[in-house]
Amino acid sequence: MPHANSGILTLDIGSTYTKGALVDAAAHRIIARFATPTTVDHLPRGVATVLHALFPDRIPAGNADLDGVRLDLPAHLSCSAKGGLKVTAVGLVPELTLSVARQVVCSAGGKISGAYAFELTPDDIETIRRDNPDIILLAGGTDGGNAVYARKNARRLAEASLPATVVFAGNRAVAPELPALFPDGRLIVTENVMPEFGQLNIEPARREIRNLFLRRLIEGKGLSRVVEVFGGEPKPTPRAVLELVERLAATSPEWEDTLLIDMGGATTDVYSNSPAVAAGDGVILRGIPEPAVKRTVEGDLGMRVSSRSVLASGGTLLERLRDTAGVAAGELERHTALLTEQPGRLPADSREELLDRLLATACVALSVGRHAGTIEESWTPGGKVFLQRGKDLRRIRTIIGSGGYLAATPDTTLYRDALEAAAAPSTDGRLALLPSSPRLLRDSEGLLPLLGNLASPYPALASHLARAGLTELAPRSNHQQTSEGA
Amino acid sequence: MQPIPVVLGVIGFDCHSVGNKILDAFFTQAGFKVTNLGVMVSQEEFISAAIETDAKAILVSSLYGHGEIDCAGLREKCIEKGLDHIKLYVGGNLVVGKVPFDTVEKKFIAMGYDRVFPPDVDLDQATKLIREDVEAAG
Repeated sequence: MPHANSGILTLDIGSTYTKGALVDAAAHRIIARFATPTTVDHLPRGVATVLHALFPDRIPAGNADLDGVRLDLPAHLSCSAKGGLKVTAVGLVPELTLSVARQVVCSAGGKISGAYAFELTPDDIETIRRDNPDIILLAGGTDGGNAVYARKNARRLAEASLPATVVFAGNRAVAPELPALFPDGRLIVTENVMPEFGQLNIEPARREIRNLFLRRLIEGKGLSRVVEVFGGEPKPTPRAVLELVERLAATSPEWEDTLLIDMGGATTDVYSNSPAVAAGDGVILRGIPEPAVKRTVEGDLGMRVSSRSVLASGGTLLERLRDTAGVAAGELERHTALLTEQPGRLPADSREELLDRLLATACVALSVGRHAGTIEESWTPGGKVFLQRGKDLRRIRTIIGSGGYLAATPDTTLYRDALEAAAAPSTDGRLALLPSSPRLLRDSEGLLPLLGNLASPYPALASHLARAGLTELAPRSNHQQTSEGA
Repeated sequence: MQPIPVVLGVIGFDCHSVGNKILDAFFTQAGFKVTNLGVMVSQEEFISAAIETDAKAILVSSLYGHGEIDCAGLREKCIEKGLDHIKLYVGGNLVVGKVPFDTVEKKFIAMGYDRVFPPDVDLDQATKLIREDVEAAG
C-alpha cells in the first residue's frame, strides 16, 4: 500500500449506507471512497465490501465475516445502524430537568422515543413499554432539591421491569436507594444533569449513554467483529457529526459559528456551534442557558417516511410556503401519501420536484426554527429590555446542508425562503433568533460522518478535508440580494 | 444546621436588580440555600424553580408599584402545581401611592402570602421570622 505511513481509514455504518474512505493524512486528501447499502442482517458483509473496494489488493471480495482481516493503519468507526439508540427522557419540570435531559440525549447521538415530566403514571409506563427504548434517562431535582419525583419514578420503572437500562442522573440524594430497586443491574447511576439550579452538567450522563450505545449495539448483527477489526470503539453517527461541528471551529475562524442541517427521509437533525447568548445591553435570558454545541432531532420532519407528519406540524408556516409556491393543500397531501408508500421515490416530473422543494423548505424552516431561540421586546418602567429564550443563532455565518436533498440541491433560495418563513413573528410577538445571509455549503460528496470520525483525533485534517470536500452554493445574485430599505 | 432552600426573585416586568443582589447575599450568609432567579421573573418560573430545588419558601420582591397585579394568583398556582405547603413571602414597594402598610399587608395576606415585608424591613428580623415559619411547618 503506497500510503501506509500516513493512511487513515474512516468508516460509517449508516442505517442506509455503509461508507468508507481512505485518507492520506500527510497530503490532506481522500485517496479512495466507497459506499454500499448497509447489510442490516449482518453488518460485517457491507463493511467487507467497502474494505475490498478501498484495498482491492489486500482484502479479497466476499469475505463476509472479515475472517483474518487485519488493518495496519489507524481506523475510525461510527455506526447508526438499527436506527440509532432509542432513549426515553424523564425529568421533573418540563422546561428545567426534562429539557436538560433531552439535550443530553441529543448530544449523545440518541433518538428521543418519549419525554415525560413530573410523575410517571401507569399509562406512561405502558407507553414506554410499547416504545421499547434501549435506555431510560431518569433526571429530576437539583442535588439537595426535590427527591420525591425521582424516587417515585425510579420505583415505577423498577416495578415495571422493562428491558431498558435506566441511567439515573437526578438528585443524588436518591442514588443510594436505587441499586436495591434494580437487582438485575439494569441501572447506571451518574451525576445529576442539573446539580444546581440553572447549571448544566451534560457530560457525565452523555458519556454513560454513549457507553451503553456501544455495549448494546455491539451485541448481535456482527458488529463486534467489525469493532475487533477496527480496534477502537465506534461512535454513534450523530455524535461524530456533532464532534465535527465542535472541533472544526477550533481549527479556523471560517468554521466558527456553523450550523449544520442533516435532513433525511425520516428525521431532520440540526447541529450548531455558536455562543447561545450574544452579549448585549438589556438582554435578559429566561430559562436555563443552552450549550454552544447543540444538537436537536426532529422526528416529525423528513422528506419521505415523515413527510405526512410535516403537514401536521407545518401550521401557518407551511400554509404560507404552500401559497407562495402555488400548491393546493390537497395536492401536497396526495404527494406525501405517495412518498410514504414509496420512500425510495424520486421526483418523476417538474411538479414533483416543486413539491419536494416545498417539503424541504418547510423542514429546514421548522427544524431551524425549533433549534433557535426567540427574543421579545418588552417595555418596563425602567425602559426597554429584550427577553431571550433559547439559543441565539444570529451569529451563524455558515450553514452546511447534508442528507439526500440538501446534499444535492444547489438552490440557495431554498434557504432564504426557509429562513424568511421561520422569521415570521409569532402571534405573541416573539421573534426567532435566526441566521441572516450565511455562507451556504452542501455535503455533495456525503462526507459528513466520515469527517466526523476524524474530527476529534485529527481536527486539522478534518478541517482541510471539509474545506476541499464541501461545495459552496453559488452566492445569490445582486438583483436578489437587494432588499427594500430594511 | 441544614441550609433552608428558598427561591428568590423580582416578579413581573420589574428590573430593579440592586436590592435583589443584596437579598441574595444576605440570605445566603444567613444560612439559606438561595436559588436566585434575578429580575423579571414570572410566577411560573418561581414555581418551576421551587419544585426542582425543593424550596421551602418563595421570596418575591416587587419595587415598581405593580406588585398587586403581578403577585395575585401565585398561591393558587402553587397549589395547582403540588406546592401545597410552601411559604410565600413578598416585600418591597408593593403598591403605588401613599397606602398605609397595614392595608397593603392585609391585601397580600388575603392573596395567600404568609408574610408581607415593608421596604424598610430589618433583614435580621425577616430572616428570623422566615426561619421560624419554615421550622414550625416541619
